[in-house]
Amino acid sequence: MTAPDTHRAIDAVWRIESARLIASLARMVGDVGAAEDLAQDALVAALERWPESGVPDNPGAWLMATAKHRAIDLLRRRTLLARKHKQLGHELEARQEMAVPDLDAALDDHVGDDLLRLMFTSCHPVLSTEARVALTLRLVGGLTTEEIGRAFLVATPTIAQRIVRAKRTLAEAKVPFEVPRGSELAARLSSVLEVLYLIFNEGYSATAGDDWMRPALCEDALRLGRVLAGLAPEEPEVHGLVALMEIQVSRAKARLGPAGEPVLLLEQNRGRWDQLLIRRGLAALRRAEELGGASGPYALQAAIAACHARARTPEETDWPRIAALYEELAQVVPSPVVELNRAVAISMAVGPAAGLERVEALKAEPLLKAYHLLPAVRGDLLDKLGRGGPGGVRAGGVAHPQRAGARRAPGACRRERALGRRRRGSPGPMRSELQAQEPDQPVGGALAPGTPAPFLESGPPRLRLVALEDVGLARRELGVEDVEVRLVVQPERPIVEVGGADRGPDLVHHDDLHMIHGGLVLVDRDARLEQRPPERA
Amino acid sequence: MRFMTLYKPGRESDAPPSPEEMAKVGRLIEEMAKAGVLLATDGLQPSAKGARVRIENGTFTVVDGPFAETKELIGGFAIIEATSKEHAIELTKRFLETMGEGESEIRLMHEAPAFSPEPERELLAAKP
Repeated sequence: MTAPDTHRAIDAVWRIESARLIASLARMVGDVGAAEDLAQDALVAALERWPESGVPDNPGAWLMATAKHRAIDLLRRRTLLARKHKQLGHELEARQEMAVPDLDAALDDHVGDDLLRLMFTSCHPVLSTEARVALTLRLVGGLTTEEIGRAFLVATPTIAQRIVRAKRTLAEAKVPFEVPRGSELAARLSSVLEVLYLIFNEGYSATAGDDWMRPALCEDALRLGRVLAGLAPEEPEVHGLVALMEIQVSRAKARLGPAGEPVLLLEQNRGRWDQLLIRRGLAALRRAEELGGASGPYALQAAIAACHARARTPEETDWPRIAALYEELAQVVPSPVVELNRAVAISMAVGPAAGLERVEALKAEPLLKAYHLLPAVRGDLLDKLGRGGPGGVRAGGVAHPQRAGARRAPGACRRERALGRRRRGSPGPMRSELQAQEPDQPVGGALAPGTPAPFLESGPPRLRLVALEDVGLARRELGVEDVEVRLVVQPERPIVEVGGADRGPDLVHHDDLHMIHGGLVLVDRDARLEQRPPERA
Repeated sequence: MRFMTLYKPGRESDAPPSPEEMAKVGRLIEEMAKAGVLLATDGLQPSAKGARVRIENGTFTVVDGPFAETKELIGGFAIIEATSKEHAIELTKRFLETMGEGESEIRLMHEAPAFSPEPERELLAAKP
């Protein structure tokens, strides 16, 4: 085997073994950060030795043995240290002395439990969402920092820093390496599911970069979801989420046209839907339902996706059932966006007039004020009723998707999805709420003149998402580490202020701001700064 | 990347696999499924229960099993989602380790049906 071959083989072994390795080590040393360092040391040893010696027959066991030796060294050092520093107390000492002889047993059992602990720890609420995502992909997904950076179009050092900080946060907060019990379990599990679904959605409708999809991220999320389903087989929502992801991704190949343009759900060549994944998704949904989880938010969304998956032609779509499922979803997670989706489903099931009635009722909803889909859907329904929309809003929706697609750049759709999706600041299960009129659409029709979101359509495609609540991120993304960054939301015009002690506040150039929406703003990757206009001072 | 691995045990016996063998394979399959990489798998029954169908110059021949060349006979298949060929090789090694003997052929799949099930629709669309 040549050296590059060996390196690829080591990558493959790492991909398979790293999560288990880290999980087992974390239980030994009680700290995921130290565990990852130990696992990395073992990897470095493999990279040094295997090109000479060849990949051992049982590479996983080799890595585990190597890491275990280092772990024992670490524990001994800690014990010595504890002896030297009496103030650390006898308890620690005793605990660690007890731990050493037990290591073999500790490592060989409970691999599954350890993995589950690792997932819960990586998705711990003490961490920011971004940190959870990065840590999960790194520790559980076995991705390198470079791979995570590439996937999210974030510089590798930024990701590395995020991971380092996350590990420090976990250590400082003394987060125990355990699976939460009792009442805490549900909330913590939903955090894990959120993280996986966030990763999935970043792949399914990329928020950054030029790609409309990044399938590798979908695959990673799905892989982790399947792992979780194996580890927590009695949790219906895990199967619900897996079902949702399997069914969504089954359409991946059909979602892009020959020129890379998005193809709306009802226009897709259903022959390109992946039946293997659909079958898996339907089986996972059945499992969720058997476990009594039919009304979980993920299971309901999966059930909606399943209605489409089961229809061999668009005409076969069971719209009344979809409308009913949206109604149920609205009860579980009330949201005007779900109501909007429901209105679309009703318009398909009953007729545009019935749908329009509901859309009109939603117009007063404050949350939908700046939501471009509302006028798009409304325009489409008016169109169908032959009334045309006011203000030039004649969107191509369900009925005329190509028309809409022809008029707008795919990037714009993507950005809208991204923004709407994260609009509420939490990557909760409601992300697919955005899939108004249905999951695969670049969200229902045109952004016609007169609709809100004037910052959306222009500008180069390489954008950064900056969240109001994370000024640190904003600062890094803008490359202005040393100064103040303040994001200001105004009704008609967002402002990003950059300033500090030794300089007056500058504004990010208006043309470089693309969208602001409930605390999120898109800023050009290399945004210019301009003097703050005096009248605003 | 989706791969199909075809397992060739190198021999064919009419005896069904022993409970121990079944248990071993079962554990392995469970493990791979839990790792999120196994999309589908199944074992194949003896070739005596199958047949070969061939067309040549417009004429069919059907030959019932068992087939003679046991080395090439497929005993089972798996469809796995791997990140690289090397990843698929590592996963296959684990499978073969459990089986103890035999050979697996690893093939990269197209992952898309080669033909649309609705060709007439496309034809219609192509007409002016």
